Amino acid sequence: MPATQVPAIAGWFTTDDQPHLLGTRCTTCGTVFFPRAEGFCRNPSCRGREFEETALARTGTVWSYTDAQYQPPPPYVAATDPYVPFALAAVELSDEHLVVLGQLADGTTVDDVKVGDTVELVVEPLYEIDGVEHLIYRWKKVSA
Amino acid sequence: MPGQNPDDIAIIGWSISPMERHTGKTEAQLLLEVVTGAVEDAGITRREVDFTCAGSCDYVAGQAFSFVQNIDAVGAWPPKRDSHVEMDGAWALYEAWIRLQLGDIDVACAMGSGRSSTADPALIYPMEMDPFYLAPLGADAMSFAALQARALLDSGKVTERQMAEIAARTRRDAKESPYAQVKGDFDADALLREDYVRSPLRKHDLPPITDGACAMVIARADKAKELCPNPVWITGFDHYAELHYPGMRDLRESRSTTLAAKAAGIGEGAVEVAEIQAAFTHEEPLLVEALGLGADTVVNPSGGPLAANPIMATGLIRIAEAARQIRDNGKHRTLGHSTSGPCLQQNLVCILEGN
Amino acid sequence: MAHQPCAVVGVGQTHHKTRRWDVSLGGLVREAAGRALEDAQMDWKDIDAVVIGKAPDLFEGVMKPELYLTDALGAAGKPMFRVHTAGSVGGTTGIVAAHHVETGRHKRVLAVAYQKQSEGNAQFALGSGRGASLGAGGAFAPYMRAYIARSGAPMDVGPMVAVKDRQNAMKNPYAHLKLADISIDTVKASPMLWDPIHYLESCPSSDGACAVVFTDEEGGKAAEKAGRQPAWILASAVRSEPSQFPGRDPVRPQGAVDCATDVYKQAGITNPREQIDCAEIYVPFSWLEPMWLEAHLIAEEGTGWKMTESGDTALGGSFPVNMSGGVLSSNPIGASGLLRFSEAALQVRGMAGEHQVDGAKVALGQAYGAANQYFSMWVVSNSLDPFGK
Repeated sequence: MPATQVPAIAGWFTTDDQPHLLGTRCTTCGTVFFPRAEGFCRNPSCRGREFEETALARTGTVWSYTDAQYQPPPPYVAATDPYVPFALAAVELSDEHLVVLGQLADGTTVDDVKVGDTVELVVEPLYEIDGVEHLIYRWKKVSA
Repeated sequence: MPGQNPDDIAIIGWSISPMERHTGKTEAQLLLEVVTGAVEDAGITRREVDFTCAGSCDYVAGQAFSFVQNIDAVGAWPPKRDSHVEMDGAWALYEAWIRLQLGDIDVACAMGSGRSSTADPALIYPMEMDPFYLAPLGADAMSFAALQARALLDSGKVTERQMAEIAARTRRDAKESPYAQVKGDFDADALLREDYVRSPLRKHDLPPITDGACAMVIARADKAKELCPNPVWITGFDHYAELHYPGMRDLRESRSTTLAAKAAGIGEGAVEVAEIQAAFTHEEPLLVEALGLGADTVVNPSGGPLAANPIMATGLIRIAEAARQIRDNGKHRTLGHSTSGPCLQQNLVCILEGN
Repeated sequence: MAHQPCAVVGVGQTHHKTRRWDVSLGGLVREAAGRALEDAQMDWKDIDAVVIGKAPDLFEGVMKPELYLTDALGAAGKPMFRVHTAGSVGGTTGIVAAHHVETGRHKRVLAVAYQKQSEGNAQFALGSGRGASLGAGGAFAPYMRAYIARSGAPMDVGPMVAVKDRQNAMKNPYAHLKLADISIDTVKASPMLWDPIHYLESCPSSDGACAVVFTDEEGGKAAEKAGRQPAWILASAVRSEPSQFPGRDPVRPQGAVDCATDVYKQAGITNPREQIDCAEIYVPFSWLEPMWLEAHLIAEEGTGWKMTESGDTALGGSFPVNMSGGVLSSNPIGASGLLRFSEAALQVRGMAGEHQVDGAKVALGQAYGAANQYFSMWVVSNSLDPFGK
């Protein structure tokens, strides 16, 4: 029986079978923002103030990657004890061409990816606190 | 005659945000709005701004490098000549004023912003004191101001009634201003019946806690005259600091204010209106005396910091309000003042003149 | 009254260490400022204005420290100013101080930049909020990996930079890290922090301060006549760009390119690789050396790593970089930019001691901040007209 699951951050991604990142698009100039932009458009040439939510591309290519070999200090919550390094990838989304940083899927290390690989968005548990599982988006390598 | 020398710098536009106890906007959003307002007021776009300089404080924002997010507000693309001071926007204006005098660029925008609502000033301001001898006292800005108020009262330079009258007058004047947070009619007698908050200061002697921002556009003479029918010329601009420890200064005077005013050329003509950063009622007569102002000078017609006090923007707003008196209210020579540190440790004076 | 000449006539710095608990904040800045004044043959009363710069106050837990430091820096009764532009702040401090002289506003200005990181928790202050788990290296590692992928640079280049800078530091009495036995092998064997950055390719966290005395043309020429060679500021520039937007390239940021283009144009430099004799640039993690060489137009795009690999950037090479040991050897964050600018000045003044580049006539100083967003640069020379315009 899975514990109660909540997204670690509300409103940034969906948690269904085909999860998406959720960004916002300026209705005046069309610029897409992730994380969501509210209030004003950051395009210096645009004075738009209205945004609509938009589901971002589920796939992208690896722009770059790294890992965190030592446990970050608080407030970081380590998922395991002892600490297991997590890997990060900066992924250029296939449609919007935004580069989004996220962890690599559980069990993936920097040895498993290279720049240019195709990845897709998955949602996995980040950590559990008081019986509540916090979910996070991650990038999973798509097999050739 | 100001504006004859190509190095003369004028204020050609500004914008002040709403002054709120608690804004729902981020600091970057506040700044975006005032920068938009200021460039529009100046009749230009962000592209024509050659240099930007912001004043803000990480501790007020509650985050290291807080100003980095604010860069979105200036439209730094293509990348801009840009700087930042951890001081009130009045000093950001000073840096911009110096920069324009190099002669290679024409237009600058200075900003000040702060959201004081997100923290308790009583916890933050002790941290701007000497960490070994003063911070451990736990004395905050109000406590140091109270020490100075006591020194003034005991010397006979001011009475509690005068302080209450200043509190009432500024909030009454503020009724005319859309940028005031605390405004209304108050009776000095009723105010004097209130308890002390930090003896001898009562609630009415203290500034409100305010979130807000201000942006101001300045330009070199030829550009200013091209863009603006009524530029407000900066004819004097100086600032000075004093010793940090209040115990080592005579708290009944403000020497650095006097020095700054003199260096800025205050004596060269009458000052019709002075907008001064007197956040506590007793500071007004102290600063008026230090500036050498006469009874003819109208002080803080905007209501001043006692009506709205967005720390890190308050000083720049004083300069904007002083500029407003020239551009929109027919005055000829006015003054804006800003201050920083315990008991008015550091002071800045900006003298403005119309055509 | 356009741009007047400005000279660096005094430079001072502290011994940079993990913990300078032998001095208070006041003591730390006075150590550097005192040395700068001595170098300039001036006294505290000779200074007209003071400009202080440092990175976030959360590092020390003293807000707006210029107020407390007014006394320590002899700024009572003078104009005093505090700038903060993230990692580039040391550079900005020097530039703003120089502007006070270049506009004719003041004759002698003292610039002081410092950081006393041991007083706080630098990781927390660097991280801030939700990004706190990345750490500074974690934020930059992806940019470096992207550079490696784009350029095809061999993996040894990063370790080579680390070795070179620490070997240079052995010749700098003020440098923090003294790693006499460092080698490419020891770098690669050191713990991996954020792939591909090894521990020995990362900057230390240092307590330190740097101070510079600026004066005008008259003062610079008087110093020169008295046998104390000044460094003349030929040019300075700053640029900032936003943190993130679609199409932003943090590997070769537009701000870096524009800042360099601006400063070279002002200085009359059309071929930076040839006309600049040496450079002090902000390299806190090894791979930033080839990245900045390219972004600042010293090397063609994709070839910066070849300058490192071939030994061009070594102390005895054709384009020495970070002769002082650079940020990789000492990193009091707020001071590091001014240290870069100062070391460039020391080179053209012939005062860099054991890490002097023979005959250095024109030197570049650079600092950057935030996510490769803030840039400050200057070009200094021992001549007001080194290219014979």
